[in-house]
Amino acid sequence: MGKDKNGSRLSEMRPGFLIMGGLVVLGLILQVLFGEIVWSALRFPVNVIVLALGGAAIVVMYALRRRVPFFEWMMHNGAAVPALVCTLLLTIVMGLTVQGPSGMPWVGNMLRFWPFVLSWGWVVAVASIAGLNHLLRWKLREIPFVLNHCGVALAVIAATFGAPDKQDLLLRAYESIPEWRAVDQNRSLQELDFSITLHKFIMETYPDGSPKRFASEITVAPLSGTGAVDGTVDVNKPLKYGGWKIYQYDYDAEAGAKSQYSVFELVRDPWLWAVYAGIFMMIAGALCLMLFMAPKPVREDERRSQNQRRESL
Amino acid sequence: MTWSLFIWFAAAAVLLWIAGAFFAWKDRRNLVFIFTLAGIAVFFAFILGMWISLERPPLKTMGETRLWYSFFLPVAGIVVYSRWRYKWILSFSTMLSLVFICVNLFKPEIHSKTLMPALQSPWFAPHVIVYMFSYALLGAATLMALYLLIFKKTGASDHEMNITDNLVYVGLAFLTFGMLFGALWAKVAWGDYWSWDPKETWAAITWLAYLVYIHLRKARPRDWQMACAVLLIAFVCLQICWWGINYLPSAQGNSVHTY
Repeated sequence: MGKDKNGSRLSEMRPGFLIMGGLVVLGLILQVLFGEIVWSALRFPVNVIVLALGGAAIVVMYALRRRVPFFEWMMHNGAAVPALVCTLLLTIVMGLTVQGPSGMPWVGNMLRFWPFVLSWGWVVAVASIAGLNHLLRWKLREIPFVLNHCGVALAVIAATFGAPDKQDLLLRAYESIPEWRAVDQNRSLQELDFSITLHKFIMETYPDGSPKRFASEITVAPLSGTGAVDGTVDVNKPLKYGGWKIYQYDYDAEAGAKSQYSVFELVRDPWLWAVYAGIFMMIAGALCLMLFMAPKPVREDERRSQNQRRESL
Repeated sequence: MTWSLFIWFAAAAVLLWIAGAFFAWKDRRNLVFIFTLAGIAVFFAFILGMWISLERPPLKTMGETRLWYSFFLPVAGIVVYSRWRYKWILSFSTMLSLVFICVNLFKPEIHSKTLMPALQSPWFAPHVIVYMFSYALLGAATLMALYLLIFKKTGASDHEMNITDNLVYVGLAFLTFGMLFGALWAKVAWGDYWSWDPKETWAAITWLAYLVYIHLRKARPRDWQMACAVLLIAFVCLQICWWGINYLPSAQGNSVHTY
């Protein structure tokens, strides 16, 4: 790779490290000027517009690759290594610091920290343009590369841009009383167009008293019209209803098996299909990584006989 | 099957693996495969017995994951041997496996039958097993890097880097399976495929570190020292992800991955 008329300049890493340094500085400036990133501003349709602009930018850069050497360089390993190193370092900072309200300012909320997000964004941009470059060669042997690079780009992009559209609610249902009100992540009340009725909360324990099973027998019914669904929600077995998935979340821990209520987590993620498409591309890509992309092995005994042959010549 | 029988199964397996490693030095290939695979079978019989008697896959505690690691090291060893015929690899993998067996003998962890509801999933076994296999392969790659950096020093041959690359490619593939099976499972168990839980953050860090190695090898094919150094750093990240996380102040009390 990178052995065209530009020689080894395509795998030159120095510009990449300069870019990463620049991105971190830019991120810090943005952090000072605008404060941390507010992801909720990216709700539909803003996320789709931003994505379309980003996608168009990648396509334009690809189209201009012969005229602008920088875009050509972006598709190669010289760009990939610094992007990955910088992202790795920032993610290590995330792994070493307490995240959330009790954490430090800036790095204690890494997912809203501009340098972290810009660094990941650059990794995804580099993976996307490299993936596009290999995709448009339309060769069978490019499939593994495309699956890996486009797969990870799709999964990360869909997960990030889809997050503001995701609904994640908690609903507490008391036995035999239909409940259609739930609270969202900001603790504000949301009214649903369906209700959940708890028939029975089930808790089973092992002989030593540790929990074996938490489950709820419920009926989900639209507030108007027909189409009620009966089902059991178990940990690890959510119930699907419309676009929603209903999870067993909590119960009255003091009452234990006699709990009079059950708390459900309700999740609706309109971008999930895109994340899953990315994940399955990555799984297929990893399979290809192992089967087709690993360098061909050379056996010790074959190599020795080759050397002997060479010596006897 | 009870834990008290472990020492007998482990001793039998290690003796068979030592015999396999011995015949590798003597170039008796059939005997290498017969003895090593017999050892693997004996060890797996113990895991299977535990699985049946516990009525759940033995993957819950750190001790149980070490059990799988001791199992997969000779598996990785025989795979490497069958591909490259390296004489020393089985001695290495047997020794390393023995270390983990000893840790399990001296520091056994409670192997109760209980399995909390969050772990009762068809994803549980594949998620942990592919991770342990990946850790074994990447451990072997780390040994190669240590050997090249500390003992050989005079430079890595293309052949040696070919082995290291292969171990990392296959190890990274399994690392990716482990991570993504975990994501698919998390969606079913917790409602989200990725929530930047400390364990997930370190899984992403480990994954990125091996991606750095693969891309660096292509950008700088001659710079074997830098590549080997990256492998050592990556393996430190892997260890933090596997068990170091339990000692990290940043991960105390806010990880859903503590069992």
